[in-house]
Amino acid sequence: MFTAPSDPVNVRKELKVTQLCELCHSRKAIIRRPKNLQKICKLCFFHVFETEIHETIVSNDLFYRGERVAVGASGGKDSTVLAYVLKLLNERHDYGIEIVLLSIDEGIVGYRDDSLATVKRNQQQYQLPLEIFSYQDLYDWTMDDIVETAGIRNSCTYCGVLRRQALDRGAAKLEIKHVVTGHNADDMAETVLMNILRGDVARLEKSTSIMTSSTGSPIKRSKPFKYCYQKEIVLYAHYKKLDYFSTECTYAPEAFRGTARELMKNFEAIRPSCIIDIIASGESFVLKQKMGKQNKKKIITYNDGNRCERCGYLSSNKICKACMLLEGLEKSRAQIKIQVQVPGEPQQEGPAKVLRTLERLTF
Amino acid sequence: MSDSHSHSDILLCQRCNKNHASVISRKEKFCTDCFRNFVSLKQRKQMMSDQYYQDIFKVMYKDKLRSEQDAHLQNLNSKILVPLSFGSSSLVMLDILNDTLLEQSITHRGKTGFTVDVIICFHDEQIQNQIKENVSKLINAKYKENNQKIKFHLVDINQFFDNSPHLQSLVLQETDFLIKSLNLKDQSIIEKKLTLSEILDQCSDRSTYQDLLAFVTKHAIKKYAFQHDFKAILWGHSMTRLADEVISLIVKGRGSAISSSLNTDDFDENYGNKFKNLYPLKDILLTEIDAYCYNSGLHNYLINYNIQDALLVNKINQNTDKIQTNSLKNKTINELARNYFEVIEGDYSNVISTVVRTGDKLAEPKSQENFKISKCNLCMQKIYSDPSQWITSITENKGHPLETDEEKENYQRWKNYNNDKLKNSEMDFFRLNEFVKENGSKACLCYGCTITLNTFKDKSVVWPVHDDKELNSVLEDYVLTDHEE
Ligand SMILES: [Zn+2]
Ligand SMILES: [Zn+2]
Ligand SMILES: [Zn+2]
Ligand SMILES: [Zn+2]
Repeated sequence: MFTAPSDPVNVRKELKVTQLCELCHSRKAIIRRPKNLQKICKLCFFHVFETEIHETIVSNDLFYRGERVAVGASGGKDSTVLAYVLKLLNERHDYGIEIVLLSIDEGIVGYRDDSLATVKRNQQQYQLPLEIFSYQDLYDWTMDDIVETAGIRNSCTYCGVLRRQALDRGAAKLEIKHVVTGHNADDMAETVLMNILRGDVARLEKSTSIMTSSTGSPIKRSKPFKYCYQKEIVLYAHYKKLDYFSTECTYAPEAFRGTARELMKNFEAIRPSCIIDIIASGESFVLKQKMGKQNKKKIITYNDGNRCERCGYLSSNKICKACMLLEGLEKSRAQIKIQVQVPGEPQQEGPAKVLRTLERLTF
Repeated sequence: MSDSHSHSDILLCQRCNKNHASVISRKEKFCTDCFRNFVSLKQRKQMMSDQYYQDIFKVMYKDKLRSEQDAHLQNLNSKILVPLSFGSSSLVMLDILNDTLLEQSITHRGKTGFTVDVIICFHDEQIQNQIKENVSKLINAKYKENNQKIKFHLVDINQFFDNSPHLQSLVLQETDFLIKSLNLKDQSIIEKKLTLSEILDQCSDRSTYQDLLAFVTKHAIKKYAFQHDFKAILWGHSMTRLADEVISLIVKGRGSAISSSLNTDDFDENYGNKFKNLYPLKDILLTEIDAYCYNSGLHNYLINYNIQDALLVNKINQNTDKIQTNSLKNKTINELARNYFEVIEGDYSNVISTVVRTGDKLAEPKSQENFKISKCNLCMQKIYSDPSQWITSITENKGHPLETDEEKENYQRWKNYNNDKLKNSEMDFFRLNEFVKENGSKACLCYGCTITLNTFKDKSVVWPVHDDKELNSVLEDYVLTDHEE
């Protein structure tokens, strides 16, 4: 009897058992999870990625029903994936939260223009409300002006300080009390290492908290991506074909943070799980109680009613951090003019000094 | 940096203003003698850091507290154990201890406050002869006068398994990261006798290999200290070494162990609260130790160690490039941390001391709610929270449901494949593992060891049960003298 050769379309290569996903054992594995070295398929990857974020949200009680939540949206991959996943989970698990995209326009020419365009497309794609606040509006300075005055070395920290308050101010204007950011496990681990390398004892115990609020701010912040690997966020965005802006902030991190970042890359190359392992370590940190120094342990209670004398923003100090920083910038802008006349004179009142004062204030 | 030091004949020691400087450290120029003094004082300061250690190292006399007989006994019983690895740090520490003994002997007419037992651990037969040779050279060149006060013991750490009355099989369940253990009372379950190298060979990377070896070595040393009533173990760790230990512990998920591993105040509770651990060189950078080592001629006794000449005025000109050829991928976590500190020492000199100081500020972690503090079956570290619970809380272990017929078919094939594997395998590790998963009891492993076990080929290991019997089963040693061949 003649049997027709089977239709070539139906001939499929049978997968080897060892090629199968280690979770469903039925589809081809295409991803090796850095977290636990598991080889999994695309569908299982989507499932575990989304479910783990959901678990993080639920087990840490990040949201309450009816809460209005602002997603700090930069157009980068972390915040784009965050907006997408939050909307998805909110619908899937009925958190009952209201999500608003909140963007800050620092005025970095070439970087911000394009990334803001991305955020605007995201708004259309995800059908979420979008609010944009500019540094120009909030501080009367653009990031490019700041870099010109403060020098490129400090720009990332400046950018961080101003952006942080900008998000808070933006949220406050929208009467939103909760900002979620796309900080991921890699960022978390880097912070743990940095705090140890810099001996930043004041921040050591809290290096890994998922929920924080800065002194002087009524706005709480949370990081639902705390346990998400950067690599998986990128993969998720890639496989879901999400629209994001891929260039990193053009102002490189300050030199020392750069060394820590490279060290972590090296660790990760030989042990991919190390990012989550570092977080596990960080979560166990407890400081010794200093003996005989109890009097030093006076807790400075923050008076909720305090407002910055300059701008009226809630602040535990007379003048808020942003205003301090801007004052420093004004000073150094004046000084730069003087320095042109007296070259070689060491810069005393420069932005670096203001920055140090500011960092102390944070504690 | 070397260019500015090339005219060494112009440099004078800033301490004595007489001799030529041979070392530049902490922005100060030292001659060899003054630098030896500088390092030695820092070590002795640690040795006098509190009452307990003062009682060990000081020469005791009759006073209000003790009779002449008591004082004599106290001097006699002040036994300290010094692990010698033949790296620069332990050689330098021993050298300073020897000087201390000589000085005491001279000023106290032959009396010393303490005696030193040196313990040398090895697991590789080949290195044994070199150790013996170096010890005999060392004794002849340096320690003849203190023959009675410094003794050398050789311990083969392959005794790790022979020396353990009970073995257990520890198996990691991938689905929930729980550890199951089964005591292998009847050792016939395993056909042949286990050796240390067989266990070490299961490690998939060098980092895990070195970690296990380091644990087995440390265990042997502490067990030896326990069995021979030592008052303290003096570890040769430099400040740099401690900094890389702190960072490495964090990176390995063992951050909760930092406070106990830096603890010099309390007795070691895993070993019967009989001795304390001290790091006399913790205020000295490794580059400084290397400079001391070289200038004192101790580099002739190094084994598997390359000295750094960063602080030496006259560079050694050895081929240091050799170390760098080891590719990044082949480095251990500790080596990566060490490299980082070596590079950073130039630009950010205080990072190393900052890390050690910060590590010192860490306390024992708080235990998780409703969690009974237990001890790790593998590394004996205290466990403060349930690692498997933590891992499963952040790791989803179910997949996306099966959808197509093809997927269902694949799944069935996978099931058959596994059944066959189970049926066809003899009583080997795979079978044993399945048996342990079904019949074993839940065991405690710390987070770091859980991760370690996950990198093992079979996700399992056979390990001694760390109990009193094991602690008391005598560790054989071999006394080395100056007349080895
Ligand atoms: Zn799958
Ligand atoms: Zn203000
Ligand atoms: Zn001198
Ligand atoms: Zn352990």
